[in-house]
Amino acid sequence: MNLEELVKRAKEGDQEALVQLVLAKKEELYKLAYVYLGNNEDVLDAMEDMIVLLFENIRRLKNEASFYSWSKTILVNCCHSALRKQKKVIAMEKVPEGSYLDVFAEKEEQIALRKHWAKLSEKQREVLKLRFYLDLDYESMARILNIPLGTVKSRIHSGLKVLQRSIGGEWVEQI
Amino acid sequence: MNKFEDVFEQGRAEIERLSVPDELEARLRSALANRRVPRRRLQQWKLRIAVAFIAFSLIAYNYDALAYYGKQFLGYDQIMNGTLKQLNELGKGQLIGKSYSFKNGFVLTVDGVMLDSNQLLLFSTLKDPAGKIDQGDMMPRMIIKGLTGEYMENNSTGEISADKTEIKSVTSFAPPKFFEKNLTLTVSIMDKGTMDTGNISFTLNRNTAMGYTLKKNINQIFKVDGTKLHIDSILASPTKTVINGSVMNILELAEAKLSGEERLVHISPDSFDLRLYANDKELAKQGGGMGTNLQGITFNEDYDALPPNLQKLEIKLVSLRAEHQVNQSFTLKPGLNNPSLSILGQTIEIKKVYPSDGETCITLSSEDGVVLTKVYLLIDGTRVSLNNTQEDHYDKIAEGKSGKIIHTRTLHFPGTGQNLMLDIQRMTYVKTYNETVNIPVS
Repeated sequence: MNLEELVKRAKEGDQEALVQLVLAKKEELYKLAYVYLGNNEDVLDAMEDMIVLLFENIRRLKNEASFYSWSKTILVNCCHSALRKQKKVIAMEKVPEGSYLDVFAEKEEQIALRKHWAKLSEKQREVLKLRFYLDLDYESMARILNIPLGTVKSRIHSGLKVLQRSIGGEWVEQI
Repeated sequence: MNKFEDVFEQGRAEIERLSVPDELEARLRSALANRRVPRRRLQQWKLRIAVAFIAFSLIAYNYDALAYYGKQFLGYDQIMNGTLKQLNELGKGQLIGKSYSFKNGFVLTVDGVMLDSNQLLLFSTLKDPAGKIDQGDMMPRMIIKGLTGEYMENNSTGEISADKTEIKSVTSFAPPKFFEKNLTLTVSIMDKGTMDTGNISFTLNRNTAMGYTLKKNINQIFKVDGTKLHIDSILASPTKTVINGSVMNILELAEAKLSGEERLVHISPDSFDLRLYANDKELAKQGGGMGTNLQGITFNEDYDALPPNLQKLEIKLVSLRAEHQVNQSFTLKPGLNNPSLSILGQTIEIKKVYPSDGETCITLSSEDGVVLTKVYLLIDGTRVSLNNTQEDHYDKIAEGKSGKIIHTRTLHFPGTGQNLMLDIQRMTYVKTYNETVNIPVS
């Protein structure tokens, strides 16, 4: 069954069709959410939220062919709200294994490179991750994030500039 | 290697290695289960007329009852505990009813405040007529400004209405000083990356304030495992009871630092289980906090309000979780038959040791609360640090009258090899004390 037929059936309330649609691109969607959330449990939660929103709103989707970019936008929004919630909730009751102070210091050394990331704004990090972790092109990013193409370009450009200044290495224009 | 590329390479490699877990399909299906196709909305004008009609008929028939409820905060039933509900029914709050409209259409209304010696409770409603309240910034940041200073938000409880048009919340602030009368609530929400801030001013009516019911210095010490837990004072008010204490005062702190002791760093607010009994009945715990200041490491534990006819009041230290040096190594064999480890009186069962995807996995179980906080694996003589812990699960086991919780999990270490040695340097566990301090109430 092709994409448009499946979307049409999903619009009529066929849950199976919707699940099939999501599963067909599960890898792409899963990795997209992982870029934001960084762990399996949160990604699965976000994808659950996404499919519920898809189901409730699919009748409003005008163009069947744009189903996937529309669902990616929704997934990104789910990730954003999950991150917002994480900021507010700090669980105190669980001390994870290997949480002694020295151990943290060791891990920090291993990820020293990430300190450069910290200098970027959240929005710059978002586009840079999508661009370089997932190899998305500018147009798809603009569609998924619902922002103009120019904004995507300028965020990437300014983000790379900040990184360049932070690392002080050679400036590689082609990426 | 070019460092610039490194920044991306790590993350990119991590993403590329990912595989979608099989449970995804089941999770998606279960998320959809019980979901129906949403009904088309009733036309707005029909709905409005229906609401107006119902409201009119309800008000007309219940006018007396409404006059009675006029002094109470309505719609907060779900988020108020029993004590607050009673106080609300007695009309102990001060009604305010002032609003601020944010640029994104959200409206915050301060319905009222309730004040006693322990806290100022602010009852507020955040509304979004568009019904998308859960997609915006749901928790406005609140600060109350008075004559001399600012009173910060301590904690807050809220509930989203089923139609997602409003959130009712109760927010607790430190009580304003006795001379404060005119207060300004500053609220701000994030919207599309910018902060929208507004002010709501109100005048405190001290006549509705409730003061306190019991205020006492206690100055008792629980001596536990080299650590001293000071219970300094208790302040009970109609909305809650607060016990103030310190883990180590500043002198002990200095002493411990000089002697190179490090244990005190590892006491967190959830490390100890402190309970309050009034007339031999346990009071529900509401929260707590911990901070470091010139007096040392201080903490406060919040409980429900005291009962009216108080005869006996006791504080009980049930247990304390602390961190301990271990520095022991244990040889492990791949497979299922490793003997269980006995460390500082705690038993850790090694269920399984196996290689998987280039990692060495160790499944072990222990009583809940036992945590290996500094652990390494020696693989053929090379020391590697813990990558992550997965597949946590908890089992309740009945043991005579009481039960205990067994926590099973799998530790993943990078790399594989033949000679494995688990190097446990530090661990925390919970020790039970059950010591009681009696507080004279007369």
